[in-house]
Amino acid sequence: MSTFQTRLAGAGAWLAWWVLSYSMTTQTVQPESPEQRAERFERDALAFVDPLYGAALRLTRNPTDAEDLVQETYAKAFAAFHQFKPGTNLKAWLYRILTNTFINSYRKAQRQPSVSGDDIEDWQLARAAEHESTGLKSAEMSALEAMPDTAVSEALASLTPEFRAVVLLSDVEGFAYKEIAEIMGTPIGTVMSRLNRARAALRVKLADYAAERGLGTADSASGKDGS
Amino acid sequence: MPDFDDDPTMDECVLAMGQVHSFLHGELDEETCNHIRQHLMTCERCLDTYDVESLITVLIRRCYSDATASISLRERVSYLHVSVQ
Repeated sequence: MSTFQTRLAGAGAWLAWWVLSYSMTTQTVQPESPEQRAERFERDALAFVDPLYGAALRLTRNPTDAEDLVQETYAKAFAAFHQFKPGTNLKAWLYRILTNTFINSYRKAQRQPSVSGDDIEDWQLARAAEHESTGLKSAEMSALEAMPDTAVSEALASLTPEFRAVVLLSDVEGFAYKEIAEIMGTPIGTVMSRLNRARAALRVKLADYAAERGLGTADSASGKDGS
Repeated sequence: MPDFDDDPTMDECVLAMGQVHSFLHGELDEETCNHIRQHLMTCERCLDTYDVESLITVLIRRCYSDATASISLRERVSYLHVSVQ
């Protein structure tokens, strides 16, 4: 009997400890008030307003549209902030909202069906392969070195929004492929193939620009029988 | 790790240049990077491709400078949650 009593006392002590620690746990995970969440939003999310504006400006190429995009991003982020898991990548989470908002509004403005652009640029890949075989790399280098910034940003602007976003996220914003996959909501393999296709398309556009204006050596202009 | 040397069906150039963007963006492990560097030292064609690709990255970065959000945008965004509440 005494063993039973000891066990009972032990179980009682354990129960008391469990109740106490459970109440402490529930206290610490008590849902934050809307005011506390707003404070946390202001403290954490607003720190990214400059980089987000920069990214918006690169995507939209227009200060007014960029400001609207950032404002819409923050409005959506604030409304969904309770879904954001603290301690995870807030910057990537904000860029995800920004990128999706941009792609969706771009589609609406263009009244285009929602195609990813992953399979519509094969002719550009073929053209890129053609360039590979012409062996005019050194001429291409000098043509590229003479390329004005406006030609580069025009070439970027001609890409589909997904392709433009993937290039900007990797080359300008410096995100890792894993983060870009998170931002764009795609597997890493899709990020890599979009990047390959986008860069192949860019290369063709830049080579065309150079050929039209006779940039680089004479060979770079005459070596292309471009259509 | 893919074995580059023991698979005769894999073209060295295709393998190296298939990963040129991952290489440029620092996405590959050191062993793979070393293998690509070794290949670039022996293959002029791939070195040209690599030079063009890395120059394109430079060109892309060059045409964007850091932008700063205007005070009015900062205010609009800051007071957003006040108006929502």
